[in-house]
Amino acid sequence: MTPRHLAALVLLVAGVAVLVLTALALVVLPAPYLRLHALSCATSLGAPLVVLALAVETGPGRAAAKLLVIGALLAAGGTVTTMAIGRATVLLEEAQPKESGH
Amino acid sequence: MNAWLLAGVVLSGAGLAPCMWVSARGAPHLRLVGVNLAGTLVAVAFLVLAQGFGRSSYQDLALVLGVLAPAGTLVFTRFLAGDPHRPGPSGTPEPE
Amino acid sequence: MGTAATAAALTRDPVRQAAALAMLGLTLALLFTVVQAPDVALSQLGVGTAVTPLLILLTVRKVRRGGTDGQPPPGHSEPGDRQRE
Repeated sequence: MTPRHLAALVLLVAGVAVLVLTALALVVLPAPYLRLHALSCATSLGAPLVVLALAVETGPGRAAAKLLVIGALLAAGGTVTTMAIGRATVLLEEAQPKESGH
Repeated sequence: MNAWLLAGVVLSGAGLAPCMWVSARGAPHLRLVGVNLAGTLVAVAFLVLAQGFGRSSYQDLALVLGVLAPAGTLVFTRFLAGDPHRPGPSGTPEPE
Repeated sequence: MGTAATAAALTRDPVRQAAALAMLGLTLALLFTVVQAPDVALSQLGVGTAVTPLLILLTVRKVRRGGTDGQPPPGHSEPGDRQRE
């Protein structure tokens, strides 16, 4: 029980650290495309790490399968929305290039 | 106060505040990035809080948010990308 | 939550207000979950995250189209559009 709990805690700390760092990067990075990098990093790395920690803690079974499905849904939705925001940013920056320097 | 609740507090405190700051300033497509990251953070916080409270039914909130947040973001991007180019009634010009 | 509500109240442009309202719905759902009311949080997610920004954006689009079709729009850059920060 203890090694599984320890592995879950390590994964949880890593995922939470990634998510908080991306949230801070969202403030620090100035250009919109760099912010998109932070967004995709959070949805494709941070959220699956936390979900994996929860699944390891839960153990094998239906609950872990549900957690993994939710994690996959979050990752897929985050990727799709990142692409959509990138496309909207490209169109808007073409329409009004004075909005930002990059 | 176990580790899962602590992680939820950290996520909703230190993670959500920068998203709120970003989503309250600047152009609409820059705010959208903050709202989207906040959706991901809140979904993960729902999962962690469900584990921390010991009630697995709270995970349904994360499931619903995982479906609804990309839908809302796609509606928003379609509005933002379609509006300045084609103000006519035939929808957005970009291919899928 | 209070910060999100204050930001939503201080925003003047409706498109930016839709983003602020989505943010407010997310934080409100998180608050409802922390105080052990997941059903209220579920309905708040459905309303605050999806429906309210959708309705605001549809209304803004219809109003702007009505303005461009009927008469020239009266200029969308009055000083009320800038956010008071």
